[in-house]
Amino acid sequence: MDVKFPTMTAIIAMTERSYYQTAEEIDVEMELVKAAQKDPRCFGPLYNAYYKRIVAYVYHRLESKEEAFEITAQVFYKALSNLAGYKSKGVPFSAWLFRIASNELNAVFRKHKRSRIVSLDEEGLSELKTEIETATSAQDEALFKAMEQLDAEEMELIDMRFFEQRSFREIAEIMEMGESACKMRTYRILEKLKTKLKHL
Amino acid sequence: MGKFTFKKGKEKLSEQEIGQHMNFDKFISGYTPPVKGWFSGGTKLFTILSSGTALLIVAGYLLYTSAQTGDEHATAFIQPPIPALNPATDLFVLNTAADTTVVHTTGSTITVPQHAFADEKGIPVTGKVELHYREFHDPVDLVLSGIPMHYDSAGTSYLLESAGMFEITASKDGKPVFLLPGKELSVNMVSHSGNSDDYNIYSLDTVKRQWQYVAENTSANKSCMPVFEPSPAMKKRMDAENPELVLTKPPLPKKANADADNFSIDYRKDEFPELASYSGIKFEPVKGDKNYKPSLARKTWDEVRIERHPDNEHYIVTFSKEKESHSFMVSPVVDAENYDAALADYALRQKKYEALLVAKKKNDRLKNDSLYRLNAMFAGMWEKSNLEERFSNFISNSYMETAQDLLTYRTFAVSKLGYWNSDQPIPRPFFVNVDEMKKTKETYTASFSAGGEQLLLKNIFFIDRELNTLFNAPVKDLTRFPIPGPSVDIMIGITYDNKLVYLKDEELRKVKVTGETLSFNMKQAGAGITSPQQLKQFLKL
Repeated sequence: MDVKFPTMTAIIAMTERSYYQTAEEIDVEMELVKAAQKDPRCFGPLYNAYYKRIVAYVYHRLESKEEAFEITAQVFYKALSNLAGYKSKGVPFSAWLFRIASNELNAVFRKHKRSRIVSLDEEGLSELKTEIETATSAQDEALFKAMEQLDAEEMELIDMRFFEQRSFREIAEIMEMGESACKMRTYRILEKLKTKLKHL
Repeated sequence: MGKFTFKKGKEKLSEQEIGQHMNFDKFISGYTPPVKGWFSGGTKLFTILSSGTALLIVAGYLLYTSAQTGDEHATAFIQPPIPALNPATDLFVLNTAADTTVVHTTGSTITVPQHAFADEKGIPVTGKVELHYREFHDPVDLVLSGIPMHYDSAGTSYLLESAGMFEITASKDGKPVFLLPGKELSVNMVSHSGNSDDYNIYSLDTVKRQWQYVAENTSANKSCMPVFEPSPAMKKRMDAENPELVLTKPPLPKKANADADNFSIDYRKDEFPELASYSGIKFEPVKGDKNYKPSLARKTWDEVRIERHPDNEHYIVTFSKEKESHSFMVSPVVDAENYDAALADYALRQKKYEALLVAKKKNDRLKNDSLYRLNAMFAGMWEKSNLEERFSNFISNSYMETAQDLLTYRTFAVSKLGYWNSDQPIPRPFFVNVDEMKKTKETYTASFSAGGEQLLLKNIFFIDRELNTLFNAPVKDLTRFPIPGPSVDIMIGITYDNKLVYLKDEELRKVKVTGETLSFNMKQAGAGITSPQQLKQFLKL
């Protein structure tokens, strides 16, 4: 059966680039979604475009690589199963995939009563410390103790902003909130961390 | 254990590791589309269902399945008047594991995607599935199938003029199966109604008991089979037998506005026949067209040009002199003293136009029928022949052309099993002689007889062969039984003991109200008719 896809150039461009898309690219992507809504085999370009980013997102929050691949497969399975209800809100399709991934992970953490992994890198840690004015590495343990007191959503914001280096706009779209609210929320969490550090 | 575990320097995923797991073909082969409906909640939902909610769920299931194909609702709604002559269904056996395209004897094709069906519980079925398919192309098919052809839209009743209709259902081991949500069959139905874009797609909702508009015409597609092309001599003969009728819809005359400018133009009457019969026609600039200024009327121009506006209602007038040129939009208007005459003339011309429209459809259909018969014959040959023969024919047969100029098809994206139609709505009164009925002020009663015996009829159909539709005349109250309109070619009645009686052509025209009676002396269809095809031959339809 012949299935017509939007231009391959546009799809490749989506895979190569970051989260951001032009309005035209979002439209092209929506055409792909519509095609996949009619025929699941048309989901291929979207799967291929976003697999790497979704598995990276999932693995960032887990210990095991194998488990990350398993959950990623579930994310795409759920996405395809629920694709009929997907409607474009003018944001990249990946925002929806990230939300599904986040829900899947939370379900796993709840079910197995496991702690969520926060994968740290020096660059992100340094940036976070600068923001909360804790300059020395000697205070890492104290910072972790303070972060331990955040709730899951607060940690998700901090993680995405500092350890995944996502923009406020991207975080806002993934978490379905306004960009200003996202910024405000982040600064409040940073203030909260500062306060907690003072009392430790 | 804390909520979070902080990890520094975690090993990253390599491209190779990702490459090993990122495999869409593997992913999609293990994917089963969800089945929407009552069963989509999964086993968890079942455990918490109370018996009350279970009842609701069963109702939901019934709606889901009955919307897809015939059930007790459909059985009551669609009643073939003579069950023994109900058009037969053809059977195709499919393997659900693969995309399959089957070709019907008419040349229509049905493409079924893999894993398209579920059983009554919504569980996808595997293995072999039987596809049941039949088409309805002419009024005899419509009568014998019992499928209604009325259509209500925005409070107005219409009849559907059909460019072809089909019923498609499926079963496994004798039990009905249903299309999974999101799955669509593609049906390319051979149509006998030419390439007209006037037909839309409708599906029959047997629960709501009405046709539902689905989509605009998908445009007559063409197949990839060769086609019979008539020779130039044959084409000439067909054209001579059924000449093209050029139709120009007469414009409704407008009265000139006493407060607005207008002017006369000496136009060529053969070029603008639609204006020619109105006396005292003038042209009035359209209000609001900034290109027109009253000062233009005071100048002398070398040339005045008039042309039709694409909206078929207005005209464009251009005044020009040397390098100066002004174009603006005008409406044709009639001055007050000629207006009543123009209106009377319009009514007459409109009536002629409508009659011509019917004649044109008839002509178009005759032409298409000639070509259709040849093409259907050819398509049958094509399907029966093997590839080697086809290639050999392709090389040797001068009638053939490859690929493109072929049978006329209409494409349906079938999202549920049941009845589908390519139609255009036409007004009902067309089938009733309204003028004759208006003349008859007193109540009359219709009576039916055949061979001197009075008949009690359970169904009466007025058939217009050219428009390929039928009017299901009301039989419960015979005191104002409709008088068949001029476009009705044949009237068919079915008795309660399933005998078919008819009246056609001139004999039908002769029927008039006499005193208080409208008498139809019907003829009985010959004995021994056992198939729709025999009936078509008998009635010469």
